[in-house]
Amino acid sequence: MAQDGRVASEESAALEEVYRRIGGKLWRALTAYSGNQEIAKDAVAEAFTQALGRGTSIRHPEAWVWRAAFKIAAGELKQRSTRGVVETDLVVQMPEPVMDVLAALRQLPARQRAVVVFHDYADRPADEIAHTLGVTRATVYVHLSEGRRRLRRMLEDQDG
Amino acid sequence: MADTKDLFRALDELPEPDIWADVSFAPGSDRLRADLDDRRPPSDPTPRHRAIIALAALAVAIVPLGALWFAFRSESTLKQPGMVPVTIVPIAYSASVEGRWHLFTVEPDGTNATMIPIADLPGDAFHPSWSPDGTRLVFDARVTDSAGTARGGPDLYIVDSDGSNLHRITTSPDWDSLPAWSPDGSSIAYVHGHDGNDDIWVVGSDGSDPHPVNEAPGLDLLPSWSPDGKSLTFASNRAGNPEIYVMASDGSDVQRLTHNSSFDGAPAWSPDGKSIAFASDEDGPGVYVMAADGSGVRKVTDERQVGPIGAHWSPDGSKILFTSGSADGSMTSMSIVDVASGRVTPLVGAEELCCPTWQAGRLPAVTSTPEPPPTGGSTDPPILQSGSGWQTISTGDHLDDESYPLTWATNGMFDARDLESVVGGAFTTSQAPYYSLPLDSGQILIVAGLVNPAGTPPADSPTFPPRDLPLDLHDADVEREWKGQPSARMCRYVLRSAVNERYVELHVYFGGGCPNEDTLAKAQDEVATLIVPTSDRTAVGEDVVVPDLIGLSFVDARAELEALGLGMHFQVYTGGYIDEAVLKQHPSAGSSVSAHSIVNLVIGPRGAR
Repeated sequence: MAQDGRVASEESAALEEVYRRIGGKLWRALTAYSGNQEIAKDAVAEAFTQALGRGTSIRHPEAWVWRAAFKIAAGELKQRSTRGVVETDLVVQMPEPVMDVLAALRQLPARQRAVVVFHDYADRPADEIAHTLGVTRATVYVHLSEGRRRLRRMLEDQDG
Repeated sequence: MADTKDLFRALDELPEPDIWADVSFAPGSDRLRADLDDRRPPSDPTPRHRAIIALAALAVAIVPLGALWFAFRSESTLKQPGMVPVTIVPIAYSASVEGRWHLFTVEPDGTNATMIPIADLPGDAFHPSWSPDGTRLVFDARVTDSAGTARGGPDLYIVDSDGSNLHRITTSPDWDSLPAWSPDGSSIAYVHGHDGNDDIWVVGSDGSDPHPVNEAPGLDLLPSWSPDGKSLTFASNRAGNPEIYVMASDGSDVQRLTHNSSFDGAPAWSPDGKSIAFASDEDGPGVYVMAADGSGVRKVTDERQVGPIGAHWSPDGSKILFTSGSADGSMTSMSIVDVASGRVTPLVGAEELCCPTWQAGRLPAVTSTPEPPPTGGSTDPPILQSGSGWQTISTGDHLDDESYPLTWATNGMFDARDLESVVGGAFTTSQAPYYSLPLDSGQILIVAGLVNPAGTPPADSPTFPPRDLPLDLHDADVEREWKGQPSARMCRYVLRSAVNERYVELHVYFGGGCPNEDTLAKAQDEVATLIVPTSDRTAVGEDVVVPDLIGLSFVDARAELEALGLGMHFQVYTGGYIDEAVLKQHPSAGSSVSAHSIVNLVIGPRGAR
C-alpha cells in the first residue's frame, strides 16, 4: 500500500518519541518478566516494528506497544518452554541486585509475574494489564496480591 | 518488610540497550497481526443497564465451570486418501488460550489436541455441538469489544469444523447459549435466557424461526436430544431443586425424572435412547446413569470426582466423556469412564477447559495405560490453595490505583466499581474477608465473615464472650443455592451470632452441594477455631445505602474464579455483603450503614493476632 512519505515519517517520529519515553522501562519490565534480556529486546523491537507498520490505525500507541511486546515475549517464552530451551541468560552481565530480583520473580507463575512487574514496576494501569492478559481487573488484583505476598515471603526467607 | 516497588528499583540498574536501532522500517511482518490487533465488535453492543450485564455475567461465569454436555450421535466415517476408511471421532471442546476461549478438537485417546482456527471469532467460544454429519459445529459466543469486555448475551454461531464459514444464527440481545444440534440436523435446541428466566428454545440450523419449546419460571438448561429427535431432556430448577426432566420436542408432556434433594443436572441421552447420563451428587459427585424413564439410577464413576461433572456419551454408548476438577483446583480434566466397568481414563487436562462434545462415529480402543493428563504447560498453582490460611484484612491493604478507587479485600474477589454501578452509585466501599481451606474431600471450605457494627444481635441470638465466637455448623441455617447453571450448586451454612454485642454472620460455603457428615466434621474442626475480633479502629465513612448485595458479589466471585480456572469445585461468596433483612431487623442500623464499618474485621485462628 502506497503511503505518503511525510505522514509516514511523522508517524515514525511520533513512535520514536514513544520509544524514548517508555522503551527502557518496557525492556526492563520484559526482562523481569521473561528473565531474559534478549527475549525482552527482541520483543520490544518487534512490537515497535509492528506498530510502525500499522501507523495511524493504532489509537493508543503506548498501550498498544506494551501489550504487543508482552504478547511477543510471552509467546517466545512459551515456545522456549515447549522446546525445552534452558535459560542461561541470567548469568550474563547483570548487577547482583537485579539477578536477585529475577531469581525471586522466577519463582512466581508467569501470569502473576507479569501482573506484579507490570503493576508495581512499570506502573501500568490495572485495566491495561487486564486487557493484555485477557483477564478481568479483579483477577489482576488477585494475582497482584498473591504475587506480592509470595515475593515478600521469599525476601523474608532470604533475610531470615 | 520490603515493598515490591522497592525491590523492583534494582531493575533500573540494568543498562538499557538502544533497541530503536533494531526497529525495522521495512513493512512489518504481519504474522502476528491477528494476535496483536484489537478486537472490534462486529456490531454495536446492545445498550443495556449495567446491572443486567453484571447479572448476565453470572451465566457466562458459570459456563466454563459446568461440565455442560450435549448428547449427540450418528455415524460419520471419513476417508483418508489412499488408505482404508478410518473412523475418526474427534471430541470438540472449549479451552482458554492467553485468556481467550477457543474451540479445540482432540482424539478420544487424548492425542492431537488442535485449536480450530476461526477468523473473526467475536468473543470467547463455548459449548460446541457437532452437526450430525460431523462437518460443522454450533457454539455460543459473546461479542467482546476492543477492551476485552463481553457485551450483551451470547449468540449462537455455526462454523465448519476447519474453522471456516463462520456465521451467526441467533441475533437476540438476550442470552442464547448451550446449543445442541438435532439428530436430523435441521434444528438446534438451545437455552434462551431473559431476565433470569432460561427456557429451552429451538431454532432452525439456518437461523430461521427461533421459538420457545417450553416456558416455565426458573432455569431450564442443557437440552439434549433423544436419538430419534422426538424428545428433549434438560435440567431445570422449576420445582426448586435442580432436577432432570424430559419433554416432547414440541414442549408437551413434561416429565420430571429425578426426585431427590441432591443436585441433578447435565443430562445426556444415550445413543440407543434407553438411558440418560447425568451429573449428580446424590451419592457423592459423579456421573450417574438412569433409564430414560428415570428408573434404575446408578452411579458410574466409583471414585470420588470433584464436581461439577457432566456427561456425554461415546457414539457406541459404552463410555461417557466427562469433565471434572482436580483436587487442588488447578485444572480441569476431560476423562472417559467405561460405563460397564467404571474405569476412568483421563484424556486432557488444562487450567481452563470446558464443555467437550463427542462427534458421531465409533470409539477406537483407548490405550491401556494412559499418561496422566498434561497440565497444559503451566505451573500456575491455584490461587486459593496457595493463599489458604487466614486472611487479615485491614484498611491498610488498599491498593492505590486511580482507576480503581475503591478498596479491595486481600484475596477477595469483587470489583467494587461494578458494584457501584449496579447498586446505583451509592456504594462506596466495603470488604468482607473470607478464609479458604482445601478439604481432603477435594472440596474447598469457604468462610466469609461480615459484621454490622451498627446493629445489635437478634433477640434469639446466643450471647458469646467478647472476641470469641464458638460456631457449630450443626446449628446453622442451611440453604441450598442453585444460582445460574446447575454446576453452580452450592450449600450455604449461615451462622448468626454476636461479637461484642455486634451482630455477626458467618457464612460457610460448600461447593458441589451440601457436605456429608465427614466433610462437615472436618469443616467444623476448622470453624471451631475461629475467633472474630472486631477491630479497635473504627473508621466510619460516609453513610451509604447499600441494598442487598448478595447476588452481585456472588456473581463477581464466580467470574473471577472462572477466570482463574478455579471454578470447578465450589462457589465462593465474598464481597460487600450487607443483608437488607439484617438491617430491617436492626432499626438502629437504619437503612444505612457505614461501608467502612465492615472493613475492620479480622478472621483468624484463635490467637492469631
